[in-house]
Amino acid sequence: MNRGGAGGFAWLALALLAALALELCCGPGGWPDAELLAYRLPRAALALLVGSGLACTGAVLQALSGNPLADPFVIGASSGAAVGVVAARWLGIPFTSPWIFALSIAGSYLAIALVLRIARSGARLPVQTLLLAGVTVSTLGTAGVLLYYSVRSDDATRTMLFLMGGLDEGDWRFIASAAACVAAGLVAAQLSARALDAFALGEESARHLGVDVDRFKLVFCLLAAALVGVVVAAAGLIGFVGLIVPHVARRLVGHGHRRLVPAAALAGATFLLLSDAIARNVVRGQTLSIGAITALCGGPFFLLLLRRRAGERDRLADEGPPR
Amino acid sequence: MSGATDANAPLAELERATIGRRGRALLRDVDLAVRRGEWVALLGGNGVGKTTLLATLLGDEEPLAGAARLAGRAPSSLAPRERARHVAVLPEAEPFAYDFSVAALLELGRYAHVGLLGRLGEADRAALARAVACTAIEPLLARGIQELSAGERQRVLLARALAQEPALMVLDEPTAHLDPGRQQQLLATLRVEVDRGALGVLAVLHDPNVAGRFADRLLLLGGGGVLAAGAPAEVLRPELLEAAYGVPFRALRADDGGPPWVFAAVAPVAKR
Repeated sequence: MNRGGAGGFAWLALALLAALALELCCGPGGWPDAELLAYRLPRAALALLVGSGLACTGAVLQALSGNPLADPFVIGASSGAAVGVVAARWLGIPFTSPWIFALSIAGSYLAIALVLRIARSGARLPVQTLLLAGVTVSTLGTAGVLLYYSVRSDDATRTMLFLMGGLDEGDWRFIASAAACVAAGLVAAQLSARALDAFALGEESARHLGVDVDRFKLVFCLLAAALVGVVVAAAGLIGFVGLIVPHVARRLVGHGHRRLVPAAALAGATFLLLSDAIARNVVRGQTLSIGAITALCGGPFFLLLLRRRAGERDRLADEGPPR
Repeated sequence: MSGATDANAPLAELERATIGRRGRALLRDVDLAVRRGEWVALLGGNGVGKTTLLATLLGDEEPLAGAARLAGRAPSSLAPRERARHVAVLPEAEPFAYDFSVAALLELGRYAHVGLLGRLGEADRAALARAVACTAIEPLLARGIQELSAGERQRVLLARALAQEPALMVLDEPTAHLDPGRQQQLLATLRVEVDRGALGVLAVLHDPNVAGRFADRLLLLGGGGVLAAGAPAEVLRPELLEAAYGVPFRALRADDGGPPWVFAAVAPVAKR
């Protein structure tokens, strides 16, 4: 297991380097000169941040809920952040202001807290209710965003393009503040790795093991909200990264979070770099929405997981398990 | 383990306690003390308040009246890590969401003993090795926890609870889904630890005969309070069990000199 983990990390590092090279070297304009690099470097930096942030959030949410189908998009955190962004626009805040971050994080936190509260039944967080609550909160959030589009048609197009998901933000100061947030989130998740392990095996048993569950729940919700809020404010809605990537990372390094958190961050960065490289190169002269690329990969993957879990449930039912 | 002065102090204690949740009383006037080297079992019908009683002792519920004490203090005043070093809980078997290795699951038993970074010291490794040895789970260590059978799963969870090195072990229906063989094997492992004087046990058990053989004292709950408390032979009486469960009971003299075998007389619906 130990060696398998190390091998997994070597592969992840290699893949990340390859993806970075691809992102920097390919695209309209061909081999990069200084001017092209000035366009592609911030994109690559943002892809790194967004990918690692979303993937790490996915891993944290999957542990917190004890539920392998949790992801910032699925449980409504992204949608909450979008509402935060729209609220900021409503208040007349420009896209590059730090207040965009703050409101986006607040929206995301409210959505996560709301979903977890609705979905809980006793000490448990059943898959079905978690997904239903997530979808409901997501839909509510989307409704809010659409409402804004219809009453503020003057700003609708810009905000829509912003939320559609893209890595076009070229401002290094903006990227730096996003980087600080994402780095802080990753470090916090890494330091809480053992608590994440305990949570992943059930909140009740985590409590019996001595985990301060209430405090950690708050920490994890804040952490997830901060990462998702920053990502949405920086790059819009990019779906399913937080779902697919941790599962791939689990395959490579196992379920323990001391390895899973960094592995998910590496794999997430790789995935986003690749997605952006695809988005820029598939159709000549056009950059596709990166959110569409990740969703096209992630949607089928999600269905596959759902299908497999249903199969597992049937198998367990045959064995006559507890409950 | 600890000094002679507190060796006999109760690990967990209820004093004329009213047990309930959300202000609604379930059990009144409960007296209970568990000490090191003894096993106390709770018996009683579904919904009578056994689990709430455990929650009160663990500090997750407050007693509505009277007092609850854990390690001599109000249970809810213990910090989570502090509590986990004093008391371990073995819950009813439940499936796991992620396929951790048995070894990784086991290591979490030391959560309350290690620092932020989770580095295991010598004492931690020794505790883990002891827990593995006395539950005989060595061959399972490299396996994934999702592949375990219900019996193996409970043995691994018992090992994790023992690795916490608690003074008190609380069990809530730990053997609900085990066959009689696995059930007795699990409880016997724990009985050895109790006889060694390593810990005290407070267990909710469904089967009165199992409780009568493994526990030193029984607490029979029913009718909103304690119906009977004491040695198994005093509590395992048909009239008391009938009062607790609402069906007639019979008793047979045991050939091993222990308390009588008791069982519910089954009355088909037509005869009622």
